[in-house]
Amino acid sequence: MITERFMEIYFWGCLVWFAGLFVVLAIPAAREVKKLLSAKKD
Amino acid sequence: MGNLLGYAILVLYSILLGTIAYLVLKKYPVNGKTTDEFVLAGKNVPFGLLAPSVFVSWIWVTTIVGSAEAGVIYGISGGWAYSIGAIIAFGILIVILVKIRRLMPEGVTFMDFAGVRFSTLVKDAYFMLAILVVIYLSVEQAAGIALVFHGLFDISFKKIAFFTVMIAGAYVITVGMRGVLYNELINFFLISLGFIIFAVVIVNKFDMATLFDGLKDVQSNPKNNNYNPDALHLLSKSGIMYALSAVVIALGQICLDPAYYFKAHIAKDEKTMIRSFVFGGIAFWTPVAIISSFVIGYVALSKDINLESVINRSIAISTSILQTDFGPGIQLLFAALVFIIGITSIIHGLIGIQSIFTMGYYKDKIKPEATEAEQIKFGRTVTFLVATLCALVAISLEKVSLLTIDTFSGIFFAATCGGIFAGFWSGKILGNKVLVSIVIGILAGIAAWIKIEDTNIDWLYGSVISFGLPILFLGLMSLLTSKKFNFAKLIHLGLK
Repeated sequence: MITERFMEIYFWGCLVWFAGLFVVLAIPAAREVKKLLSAKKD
Repeated sequence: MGNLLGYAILVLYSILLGTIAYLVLKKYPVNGKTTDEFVLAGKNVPFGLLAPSVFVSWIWVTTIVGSAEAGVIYGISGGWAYSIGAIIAFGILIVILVKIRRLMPEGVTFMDFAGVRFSTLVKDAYFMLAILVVIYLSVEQAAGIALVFHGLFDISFKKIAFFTVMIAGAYVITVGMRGVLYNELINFFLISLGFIIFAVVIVNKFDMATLFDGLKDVQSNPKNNNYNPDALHLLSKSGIMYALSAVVIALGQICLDPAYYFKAHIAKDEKTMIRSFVFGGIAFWTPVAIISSFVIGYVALSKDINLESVINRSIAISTSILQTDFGPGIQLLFAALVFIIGITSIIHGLIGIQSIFTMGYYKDKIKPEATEAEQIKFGRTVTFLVATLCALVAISLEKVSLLTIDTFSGIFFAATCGGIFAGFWSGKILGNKVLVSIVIGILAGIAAWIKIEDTNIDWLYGSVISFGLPILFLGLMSLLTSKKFNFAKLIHLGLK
C-alpha cells in the first residue's frame, strides 16, 4: 500500500525526470533548428 | 465558439506544416530529386534530429489517454504498467534494429531481412502486415483526435478525422523523410512544453492529497463507481498482468512499423542510432505515461467518474474532467496536444509507407529498370492512396470502441513476433513455416478472444496465445530441422 508522500515523490520525480531530459535533448535539437533556419543551402 | 477553436487548431497546424515544408525545400533543393534524399534524408542524421523524431513518433494519443484509462482501471499500478510494457517492447525493437544493421548493412526493414532469411512469400506477407499496421496506427490516431475534438468542441467527428489524415498525407508526399524529421523536431518542443504546462496546471487544481484520497476511496469504498481493492498497490497482480500484455501488444505493432527501420537506417552511425532510440523511445518517453495516469486518470478517480455506458472510455475520461473542471484555455491546450501527438504519429506511419514503396517495391515487382524519379512518383502515389483509405476508414469509426480495435489489432499483430524472433535467434532454415506460424497465431488468438466469456481476461489470453503459439511452433520446427541458415549471405543484400 502506498502513502500520500510516496505518491507525491512518484509524481514530481517523474515530472522532474521528464523536464530534465527535455533540457538535455533541447540543446542538440535547438542546434538542428538553427541549422534549418540558416540561409546556407545544403 | 468552441467549434471555431477546434478548426483553428487544424488551420494553424497546417500553416506550421507549410512553413516547415517551405524551409526544408529552400534549404535542401535536392530533397525530392533522388531517393537517397527523399527517402533517406541524406543518410547522415545526427542525434539532435533523430532522438526528437523517435520520441515524437512513439508518443501516441493512446500514450496519454490509454495510460490514463489504465490508471482508472488498475489504480496506482496502471501508469507504470503501461509504461514498462511499452518500453520493454521498444527495447526489443532496438535490439532488432541493431541486429539488422549488423547482419544486413544494406537492408533496412524486417521485410528485406525476411525475404532472404525465409522466402519471398514471407517477405510479401510481412509487407502486407506492415501496411495494415500503418493503417491501424493512422486510423486509431485520427479517431482519437476526432473523438477528443468532438467531445470538447462539439465539432464534426468525420470532418476532423478525414482532414487530419489528408493533411498528414499531403505533407509526407510533399517533403519526404527530411521534412518529416524537421516537423518532428519542431513538434518535440511543442509536445514537451505543452505537456509540462498541462501537467502542472492540472496538479495545481487537483493536489496530491486530493488524488490520494480519491484512490483511497476507490480502494476501500465498495460503493465507489471504480471500486478496486488493489488501487493503492504499486505491484498489484492485475497491474503486472497488464504490463505483460502491453509488451505483447506493443511489440507486434512496432516491429512491423516500417518507419522505425528507415529512421534507424538513416542515422549517422550505429552509436547515434542506438543513443537516439534509447533516449527518445525509452528514457524520455517513459515518464509521459506515468504522468498522464496521474493528471487524467487519478483526477478522474477523485471525481468518482462513472464510465459504465461509455463507448470510448479513454477519451471520455479526459474530455469529461476537462469540461467539468477547467476552462477553455486548458481544453484548448489539451486538444492541441492530442492533435499534434496524433498527427505526427500518422505522418510517421505514412512516411514508412512512402519509404517502402519508393525503395525496392517498384523495382522489385513492377519495373526493374525504373528511374529514381519514377520510384519517387510511385511512392508518392501509393502514399496518397493509403492516406485516403485511412481517412475513409477513420470517419467510419465514430461509434466504434477504440479499445475493441486495439484489442483486435493487438491479437492480430502479436502473431507476427514469432517469425521475427525466429529470424534472428533460430539459426535454422524455416522458409514458409513462418507464414504458417502467423496464421496459427492469429486464428488461435482470435478464437480465444471470442470463446472466453470473461471480458476482463479474454483480450489477455487472446494476445498471449497469438504471441506464444507461433513462438512454440517455430521453436519446434527449429528442433526438427537440421538445415542451418547461412547468415553470411545477408551481408551484401538489401536496398535497391
